[in-house]
Amino acid sequence: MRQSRRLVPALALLLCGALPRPLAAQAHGTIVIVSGQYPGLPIPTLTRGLADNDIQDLLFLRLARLGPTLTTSGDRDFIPQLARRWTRRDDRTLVFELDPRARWHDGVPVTARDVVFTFTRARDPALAPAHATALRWISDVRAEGERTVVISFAKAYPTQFFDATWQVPILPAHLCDTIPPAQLATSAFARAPVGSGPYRYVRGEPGQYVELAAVPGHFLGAPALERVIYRAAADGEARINFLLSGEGDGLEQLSLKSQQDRFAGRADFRLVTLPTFQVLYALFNTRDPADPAAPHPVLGDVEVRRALVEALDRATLARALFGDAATVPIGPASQSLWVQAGPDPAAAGDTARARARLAARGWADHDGDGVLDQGGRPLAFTLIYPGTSPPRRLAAQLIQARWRALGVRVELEPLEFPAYIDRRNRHAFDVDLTGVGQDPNPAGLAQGWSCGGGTNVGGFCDPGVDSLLVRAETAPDGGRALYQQALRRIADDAPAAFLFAPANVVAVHRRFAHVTLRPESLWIGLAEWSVTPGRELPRDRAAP
Amino acid sequence: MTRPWRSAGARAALGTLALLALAALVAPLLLPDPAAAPDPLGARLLVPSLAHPLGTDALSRDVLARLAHGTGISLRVGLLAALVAGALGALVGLGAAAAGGLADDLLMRGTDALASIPRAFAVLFAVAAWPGMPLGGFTLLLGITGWMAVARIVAAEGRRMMAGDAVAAARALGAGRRRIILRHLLPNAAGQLIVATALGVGEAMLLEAGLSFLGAGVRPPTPSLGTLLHDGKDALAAAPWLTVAPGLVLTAAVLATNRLGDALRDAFDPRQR
Amino acid sequence: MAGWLARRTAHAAVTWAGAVVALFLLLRLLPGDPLASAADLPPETRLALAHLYGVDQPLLTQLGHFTAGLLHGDLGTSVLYGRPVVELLAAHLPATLLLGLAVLLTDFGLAWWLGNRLAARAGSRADRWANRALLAGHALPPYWLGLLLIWPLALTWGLLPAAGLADPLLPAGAGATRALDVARHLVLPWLTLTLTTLAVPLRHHREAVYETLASDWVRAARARGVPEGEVLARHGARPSLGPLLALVGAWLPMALTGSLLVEGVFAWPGIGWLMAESVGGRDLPLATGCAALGALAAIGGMWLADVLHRLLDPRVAA
Repeated sequence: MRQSRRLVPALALLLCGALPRPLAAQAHGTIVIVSGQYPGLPIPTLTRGLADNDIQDLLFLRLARLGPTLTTSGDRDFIPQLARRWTRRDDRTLVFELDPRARWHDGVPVTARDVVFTFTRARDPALAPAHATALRWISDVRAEGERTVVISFAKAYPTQFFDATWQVPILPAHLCDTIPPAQLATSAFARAPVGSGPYRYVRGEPGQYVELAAVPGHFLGAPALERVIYRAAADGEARINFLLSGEGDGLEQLSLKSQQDRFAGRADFRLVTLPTFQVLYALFNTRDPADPAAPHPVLGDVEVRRALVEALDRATLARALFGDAATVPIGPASQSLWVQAGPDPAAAGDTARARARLAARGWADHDGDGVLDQGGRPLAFTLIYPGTSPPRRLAAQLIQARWRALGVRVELEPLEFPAYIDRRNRHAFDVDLTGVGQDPNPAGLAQGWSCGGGTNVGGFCDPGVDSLLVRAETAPDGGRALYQQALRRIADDAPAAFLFAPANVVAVHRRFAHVTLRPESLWIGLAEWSVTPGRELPRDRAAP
Repeated sequence: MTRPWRSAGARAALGTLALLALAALVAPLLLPDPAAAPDPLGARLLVPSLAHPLGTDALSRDVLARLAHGTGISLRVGLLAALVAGALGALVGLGAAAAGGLADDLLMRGTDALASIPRAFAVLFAVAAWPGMPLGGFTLLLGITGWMAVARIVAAEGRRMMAGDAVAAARALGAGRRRIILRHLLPNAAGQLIVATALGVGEAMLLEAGLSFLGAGVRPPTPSLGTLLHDGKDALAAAPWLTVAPGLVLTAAVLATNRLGDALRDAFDPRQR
Repeated sequence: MAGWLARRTAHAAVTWAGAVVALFLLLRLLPGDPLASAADLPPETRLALAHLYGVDQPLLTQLGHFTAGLLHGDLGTSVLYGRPVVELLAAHLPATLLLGLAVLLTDFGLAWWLGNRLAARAGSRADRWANRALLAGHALPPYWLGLLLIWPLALTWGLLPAAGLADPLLPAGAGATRALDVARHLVLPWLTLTLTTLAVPLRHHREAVYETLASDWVRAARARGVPEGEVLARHGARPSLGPLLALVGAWLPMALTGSLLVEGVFAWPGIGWLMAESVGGRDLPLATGCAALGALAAIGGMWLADVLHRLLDPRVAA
């Protein structure tokens, strides 16, 4: 799920939220959001990618939305949306009472039938495989009258409420139930969706932009910003150019320093930094790619891996690539992972120690070709990465230069994304420059870093780590100390060089007040934004 | 045949190419290692100075050193690709002309069909089919996708010869097809072949740059004019030295090979000017 | 003529069908995971997705489904976009055609107009300078030129929009205003592509006309006292139309895909970028659709060139 990557169990970012927003009688102002994709399917159960989710979250409402602390367990922190209140019948049953004021954009009231209809669609693996997986513990959804929905679960677990509310926004049954499920994506409804959110769909020019307009007197509070334009440009340069030429107001994912530098000296934009669930690391394959039963001839040795990590001055590399927008983590921990153990004190690197380690293991340049060798085998390997990722393209070259200075020959192998995924899944690599979006739940660490974990493509196996992860998951206090111990132990085993935990950097035009950017869905709080009086641009005044 | 170096333009073109080739050959001996990034933070995006006459890039590498290496790589890729295309084009074109009739028709229709595939897409497709393609493979690929224009020109020239008296006389004397191709068609089409090949150099260089710009061509950290343009594009306004110099060098090199091709054509076929 | 046209059209149709089947199979032989965009989903979900898109079936079954769909005008559903391929192609084709035709008309219009004049003044100072300028334009990398044009014209002076096809702030359906707006957006990509592509047709046509002017036929006309203007138009330029028309045929596939990098730099919502994205992302239904369209342009281009050649060249039509 794309959205869950942005969940942050820390604070949601409230930039100017200290002042209470004046009750604007009339919505005014236009924001032009620039994105890498066109939102072609912003329809619950059908979305793919960031753009679809961004627009879906403005058009459609969920039963409840995540609160400022973004806590996913229990229900205390959630904010009512379509559901006005909720109760728990037993440890496997939740009862939602819908807000009687909730209306679809065509004026029809939102009813329990809509909720039942949506969950039926979302839980069908043939229609919405990803949703069906996320909702697999929901056993039944039924209506009790017009405004009451009862959701039953197959087992008791802490994030029941999250699954029942956040995973899928509600679709209008009265418009969708006549459409055969498989044809929803091609229906007239999908081309002009009708939702219940603070913004309604006005028009879309495929491949170019989508226009949304504020719903006057929306039952959750009238939006202050009248118009939202969501504009697509596949090329990164073109996206930044839209903002610099004055045609755009908001753009995310400017994590590279070179991208941030483009806004230097531009007083009309500010750059906002948000923590993310992203981690970037150079994963060592500890098994021989040719024979998975054998250890990797070079990287199977933990001392070699430690030397490779130590040879990297990760703190310097982070600043060179990302400016201040990335930290160097201990182990595979993103900035937002709540158990992260802070920045790595060893991030400066230690080339002398790296050399000593390799020398102690018998690696020396015996044949004088500039590359260390041992028993006739050179210390050489290839590094794969998806060639279309600018941060990894740059990072790969810096790492290569560092390792070369140590006497290690690294060949870079940029691959197309599908070919890269294929190589990874077949374990056919030496070093893989990986970027992942982590599961917000630290229990997900077991997938990548326990022996035989589902996404453990590097074949790393340390029973000590496994035992720490198992104990942490069942610890009564949430297991922070145990998880941190596990992260430190993983870092010490060096199954990867854990390079960067980058942030999301967002450029926003300064004329907006009450700017709220939410990590779980960046623009979901847009209805609260307004244009500072007196700073309007022509596009804010032209009332559509 | 008039002498191609007689025109001032041709002399300038030759001079430019010689200068670029010389720079590409000598520079590696004088300049720092283009992949070396001693201090990625301190020497990042430095403006041109005595120590770095063309400044440094986002990874603190010396742009002049990378430009010199990159020019060499791009020139080599362009030249080899054009030679491959020239050889393939001569083979198909002369073969078709000598065979004549249905075989000629079929070969030329096939050539037309292949030529209608946009070259950039054919290369992109092959890059997708061969993950981790080395530089040599990439060069070969540029040649394999570029021979069709040469084949057409050479075939037209060959057909003209086939209809002429010289070939008829040779035939009457019992010359075989191979002998006719080697002794009559090739020498006469050589001029056109050289011209088409020379013009292919610039085209291949531009294509290399375009695909590298897309991230599908020369693999980093090997510098080429295309990868230099790619690496510098996001700093165009902040650090114009990153892209202006490689762009100018590329334009100059392509312009020079095309001028040279023109001059050669004038020399072989004075009628055209 | 009618019989020839029917034969030529049937030939083109068969060639296209063969090309589509070949492209269909070739695309499916590419290494890489067709569901890479869902790489982080659990295996059972990926299996369901594979079934949804039919990529788990044998190659020949897929080909059968594709052919059956093609006959009904259905090219399947894009994996990356979740929308019907036909709808995506229809949405992106107008932008490509607009830019492609604008460049085509300028290129060939100028090639005809300027080519005739330069051929008549071959070797003059104007001819030599025009030749130099054309060669320089031809040597420029288009995307680089595009970036260099955007920087001052759009970012520094704000004279023209930096990218895109239309201003989203304009209300829908505002006739003349909207046309003017699209024209403003068209200027930079059009200029970039025209400057870098003009050399080929213009030099080609200039040479063809020059050669014809040197022929005995023209010398005879001049000897008969035909006025120089008429010599140029009737005896010089008209018979040289053939090579130019052959180039028009080759231009069609170029218009569809050749401006790939320029489309990227200018965020032009065309087919070229869609095609690169679909091949690079192994979106097999979309890539097949794009390739079928590309083949149609290529084969249609050759067909068009042949037909025009036959219609307009007096020597063939006679």
